[in-house]
Amino acid sequence: MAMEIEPALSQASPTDPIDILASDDDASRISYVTELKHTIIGNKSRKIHSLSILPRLISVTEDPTISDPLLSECLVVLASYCYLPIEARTFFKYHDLPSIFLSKLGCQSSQRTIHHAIYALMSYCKNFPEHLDADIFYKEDNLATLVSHLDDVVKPSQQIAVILQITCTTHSQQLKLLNLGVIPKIASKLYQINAVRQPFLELLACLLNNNSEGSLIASQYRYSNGISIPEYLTEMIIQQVDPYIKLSASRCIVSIFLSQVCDTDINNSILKYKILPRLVALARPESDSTYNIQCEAVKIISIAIGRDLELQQVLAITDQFLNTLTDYLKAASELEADSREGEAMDVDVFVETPPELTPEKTALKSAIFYILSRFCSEDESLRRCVTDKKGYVMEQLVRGLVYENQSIKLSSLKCLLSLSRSVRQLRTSFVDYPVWRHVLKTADSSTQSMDVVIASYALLVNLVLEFSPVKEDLIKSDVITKFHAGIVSSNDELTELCYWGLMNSTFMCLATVRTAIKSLPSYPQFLFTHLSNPTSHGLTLRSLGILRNILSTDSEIEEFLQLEEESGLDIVFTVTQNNDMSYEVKEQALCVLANISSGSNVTKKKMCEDDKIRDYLKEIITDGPADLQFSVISIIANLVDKDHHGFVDRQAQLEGSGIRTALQRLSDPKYTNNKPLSELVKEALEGFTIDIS
Amino acid sequence: MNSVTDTSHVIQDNLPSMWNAKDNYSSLSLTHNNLWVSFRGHGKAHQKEAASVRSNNSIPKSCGIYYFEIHIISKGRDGFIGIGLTSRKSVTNRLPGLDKNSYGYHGDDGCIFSSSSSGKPYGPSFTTNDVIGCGLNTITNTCFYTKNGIFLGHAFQNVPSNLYPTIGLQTSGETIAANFGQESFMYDIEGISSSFRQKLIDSIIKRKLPSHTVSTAPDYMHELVLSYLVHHGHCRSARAFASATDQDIAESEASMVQRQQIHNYILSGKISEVIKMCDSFYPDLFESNLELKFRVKCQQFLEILSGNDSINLEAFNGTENIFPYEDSNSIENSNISTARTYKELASLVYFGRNELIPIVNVMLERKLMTEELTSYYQDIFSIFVYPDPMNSPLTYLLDNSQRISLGNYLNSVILMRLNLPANPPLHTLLQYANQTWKYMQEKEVSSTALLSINHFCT
Repeated sequence: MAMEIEPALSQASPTDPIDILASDDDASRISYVTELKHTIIGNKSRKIHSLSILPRLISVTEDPTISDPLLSECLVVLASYCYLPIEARTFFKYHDLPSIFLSKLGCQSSQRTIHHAIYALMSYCKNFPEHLDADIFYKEDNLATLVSHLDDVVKPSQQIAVILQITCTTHSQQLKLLNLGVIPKIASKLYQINAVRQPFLELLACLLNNNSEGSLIASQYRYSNGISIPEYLTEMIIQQVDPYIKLSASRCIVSIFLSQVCDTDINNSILKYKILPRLVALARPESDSTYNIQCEAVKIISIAIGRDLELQQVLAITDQFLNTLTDYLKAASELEADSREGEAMDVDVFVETPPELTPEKTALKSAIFYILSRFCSEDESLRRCVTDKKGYVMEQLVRGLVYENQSIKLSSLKCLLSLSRSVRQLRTSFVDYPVWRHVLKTADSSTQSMDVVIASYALLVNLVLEFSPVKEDLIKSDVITKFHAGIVSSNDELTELCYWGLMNSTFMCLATVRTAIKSLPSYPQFLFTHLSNPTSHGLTLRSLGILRNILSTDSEIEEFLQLEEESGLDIVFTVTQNNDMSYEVKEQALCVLANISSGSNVTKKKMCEDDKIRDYLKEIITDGPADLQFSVISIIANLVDKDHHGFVDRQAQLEGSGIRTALQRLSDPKYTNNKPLSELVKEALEGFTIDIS
Repeated sequence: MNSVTDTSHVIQDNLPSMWNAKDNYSSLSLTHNNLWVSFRGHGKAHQKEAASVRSNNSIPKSCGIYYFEIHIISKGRDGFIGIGLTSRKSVTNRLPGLDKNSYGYHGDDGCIFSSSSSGKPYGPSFTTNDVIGCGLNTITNTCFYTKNGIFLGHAFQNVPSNLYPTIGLQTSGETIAANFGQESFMYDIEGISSSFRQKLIDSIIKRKLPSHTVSTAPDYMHELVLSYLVHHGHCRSARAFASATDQDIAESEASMVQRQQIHNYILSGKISEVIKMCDSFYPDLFESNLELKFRVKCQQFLEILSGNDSINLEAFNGTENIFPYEDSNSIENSNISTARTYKELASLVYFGRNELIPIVNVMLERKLMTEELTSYYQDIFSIFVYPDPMNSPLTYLLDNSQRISLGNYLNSVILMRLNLPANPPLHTLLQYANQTWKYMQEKEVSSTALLSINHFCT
């Protein structure tokens, strides 16, 4: 019986796709890839099932000897694979497809192949933004090639615009594009129909974002009919009906105007009377399908108005805009109330989880909170417009703190922060609604993003101000410990905020607060850290502020002077000698010294016995700025106070240093015309009871 | 006057232009050509002490968007000023908005009043030096206000027609000045009107036709387009379009090329070439259509006068005494600039006598000379005597529009001869559309104020 010889294992079937691609037969390779293209385009399941061919396909594409027709087909197939469902996309992070696609844009490829390479590159950029290494796009050769294709026929040039818009994320990248003359190329495309010019508008908006150089180039460019890009964009916003075109054009022109490269008065006028009203119209709710448009319009408006009070006031009344925003929150509030109907009345509506929102509604709510934070940042009348008789706004803001979604939380916190700048709001809205409870929870870096944590602490800083009725509740809830936790964090902004919070907490210091401060683990080191080795002006200032507030009783002062190896008095005095410190910091240090000088006899004696301190006091009286002179004179008045034992010696010491003489000179109207200062000097001189002679 | 957009078809005299001295309460005084209003009474806080005045005309329904502005010269003692619209029958001893068919925005509290004494919060209050605008959109029947150029939002809906701009004052010292379009407005009303017009155009373009009106809409549109292309002789475009839309062209390409060539000759003024081609390809065309022949010859005369065409001078040997009663020298010395030489001038006269007049005589015999043609004929010969026809009252005869008109006419006649439609269906549709628009205008449909057929045709 003849034995059948098994075929050798290395001899694969001629129909195996991988071997077809590996073969030298170009015709069969092209045929296979074309068939694959027809199979997978528009069919996600087939894409997934044929994933195994991907590595071979990529290696074929990379091959520099590949024929042009085959390359063209491979590029289309790879582009199609970029539209895989998200769960199947991990494959791509192991291959540097952008480099491969970029290398195929050279002039050795046919026009068709180049266009397919551009399409493939765009597909990759749109679907894999997280894997994009933008730097390879901005290498000189690659960028020049990409930009040259902006002059290409419609589709490829549009795709290039999309690629550049996605990859341009930094200022240096913007500058590279500007240096290659991108703006005139874009300008010529803006005269096309909407479907053509939309991606170019998006690219222009990206280029002009926070970029004064780009804004200058754009404003100086002139079309053949003499009009500039800003003028044309303004016309576009007025004339166009397509909301997406209006939004893109608005983004561009707001960037140009905010860079202030053109005449500011004209810009403000155009913004106020032409651009913002159209954006407000877009922000009006017309139907459910336009959430994205409303959201985008609101975002652009909030950027445009910034902290410009005049624009904010104008916008508040434009086409009932503020009512539009608050009405949306009112509708949201009523919807949530309906969903709670029938529940027990004692349910705390700010504890239960709010209903889930669609991504579009989430974005819109967040944008509304953010723009309300702008309105509430500067003007009390606008704050009242938002909160008075509109309880649902505060309700929604507080409920915003309970949302899982970080963007809603953050924007809600920013709005509450703006409101907390008002004494009236602190005494009303923040009392009526349990804001402080929820902010204590959001100020937790273990569960919240750093932006949310920082915004929470910023709000707490205002809530512990002296005239805030909820200060006591916060102190009882151990906010001091929370501030201390922030101080020892590695985030500089958070650290400074927490010092500030402690400073506000200790103002008009209650015994409970003092006790809480002293029981902190790193007390008093955390107070001295930024005095002995000052690294930040703000931190030094706040540390001194805390000391000033704490050192208000004799026992506190004496205890302070006896702390540590180095006397607290010397540490504070060293700040006044530091030439790198501003007058503001030195003034604060002198205020601390003034508090110390109001202490016991022992304290006063210690200060008067210190030659350096006496010399410094005399120096300031003789030749210092008025701000510091006020504090120094307060110190002297405390030191010469005859109600404290030992005043004779102290006065003699001060006299001996020439301080009395300097004061007398300062009291002479010839040397100062500052009346309050002169009054204070006279009072201090009256404290001297010993006879000069 | 620029208070209303696209007012070309609205009779200007019908628009509000000033306050009506005969329709105001006695406490008011009107000055500055009845544009300023001052309260001259003592005035009390009670509503019944108020005084109003209406404009001289009501806002026409067909004006589209009407807008006027009030400059608060002085808020007087209390600034109880109302700005709005009222009907003819509303009383004038109350601020606008408090009575039936009366609408107003009040400056002391920023509230709006709509035929009621209780107001609704609307916008900011206004005072001295503020400029308050009031606009009425007769298409959507909504009323809006502006303050210092800022749009405040729509205040009233379902506003009836035939309302008058009205101002109401209540306390001493209150003075306002009205701008009914005599000066430019602070608010960009033109921009808003333009935006609204764009929206109207967009909604019309996007409107879907009911399915029963056309059998297959895309095919019908294709036929319209093809017939237009064929009619105007764009043979390459027509051929490509017909191929793309799977249609047939009734006329041969050669014929279309001929018609296009004839049309081009007319547009360039080469009427003699036109006549040659017509005689060659369409014999007896002119003989069977005397009016056409007349117009062609008249145009030829004008083209000769302009120097764009020439005549066959073989029949004119120059010996004929064209001006038997004039000395040729005196003619040569006269200031006739277009006919540069005596011979050219004489050839024109010869052409007129031998080419035109016989046609006219035949037409007179056959009673084909209408009043319009007679007037045209007289103008043709009148322009001849002007020293500078290009700067004469009859310059229109030398305008390109005359050539276009003749070209279209000749084209239609040729098509009829070829048993093809004289006018493309698209032209007929356009004429229907224009007539419909005029009818809508007569019936005071408001949107005709902002839109016409021209907005869709470039």
